[in-house]
Amino acid sequence: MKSKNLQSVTGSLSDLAATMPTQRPLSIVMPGEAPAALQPVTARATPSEPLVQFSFSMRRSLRRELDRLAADSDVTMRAFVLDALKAKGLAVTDDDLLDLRKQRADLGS
Amino acid sequence: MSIITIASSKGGAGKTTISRLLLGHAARQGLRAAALDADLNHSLKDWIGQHRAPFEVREEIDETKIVSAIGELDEQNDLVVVDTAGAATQATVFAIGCADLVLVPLKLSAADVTEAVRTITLVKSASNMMKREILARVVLTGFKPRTAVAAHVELEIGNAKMLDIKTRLHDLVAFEEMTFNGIVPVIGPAGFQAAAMFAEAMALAEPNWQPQKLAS
Repeated sequence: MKSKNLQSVTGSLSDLAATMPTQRPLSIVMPGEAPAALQPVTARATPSEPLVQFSFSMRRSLRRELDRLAADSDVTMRAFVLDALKAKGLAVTDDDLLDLRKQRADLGS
Repeated sequence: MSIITIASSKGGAGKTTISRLLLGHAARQGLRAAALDADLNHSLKDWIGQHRAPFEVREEIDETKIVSAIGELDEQNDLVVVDTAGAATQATVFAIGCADLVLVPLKLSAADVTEAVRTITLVKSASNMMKREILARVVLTGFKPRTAVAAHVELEIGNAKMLDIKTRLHDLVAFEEMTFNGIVPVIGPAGFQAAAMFAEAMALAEPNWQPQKLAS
């Protein structure tokens, strides 16, 4: 067995770490990683796969808390839940997190 | 000198409590202790800041920076305590890779045991990939002695062939008060348990370490 060598940690464990979710803030862009050009959102992106309805029941107090937390974050409950799932490692895209309420309001004005 | 990483893929198992106890008792023993808070909630950093505790603390949740941050603290201190997020993340893997000892807290619940097994398995994987032994021990927190569930959890730990710190951290008010008043218990049952847990952990992380005899 080898002794502790911190310089080898990243190299030795990168394959194992790659199977885990990241904690890096989305705003961090590493050198060499070109930031994607921002496109104005004019209409809902065409989903690459069909959308399905998904519902489940929960305690009323939890539902109220979820409603409050989403409102505090100025996002829909759907986006709030999907964002939490993204943090757990699910492949949630930016399109999945679009707030369709704002688009509808923009289109209506 | 020593790096102790506190890890569990379950939230609320007692990671930050153990971190506070280790830091407090390290300072009491005259060791230069520092903390690296890799938890998105940064509870440890906030606690140290609020109570002006005598430890250097850094927050680093970015897995591309965590190893160098731990290394810098390790060069300047006798003990570095790394508090990780309540989920298996890339930063946790690297924090485990840096450690002399990984402590895995678990409370008396099935979910805690399940996640402790997963975390110990992760440490073993990291140990194999690093080609060096990374010691790992579970620490029972929120312990309720002489209860059937406590006996059952101890049995489950044995069945899963997980090694444990023999000192149990009981479900004591002093540990909860510490989160509000910043006072790490050094007297009474909580102080005795914290000191014993610290001594066990240090003996594993740094075999040459000798505890100072302190008046209680």
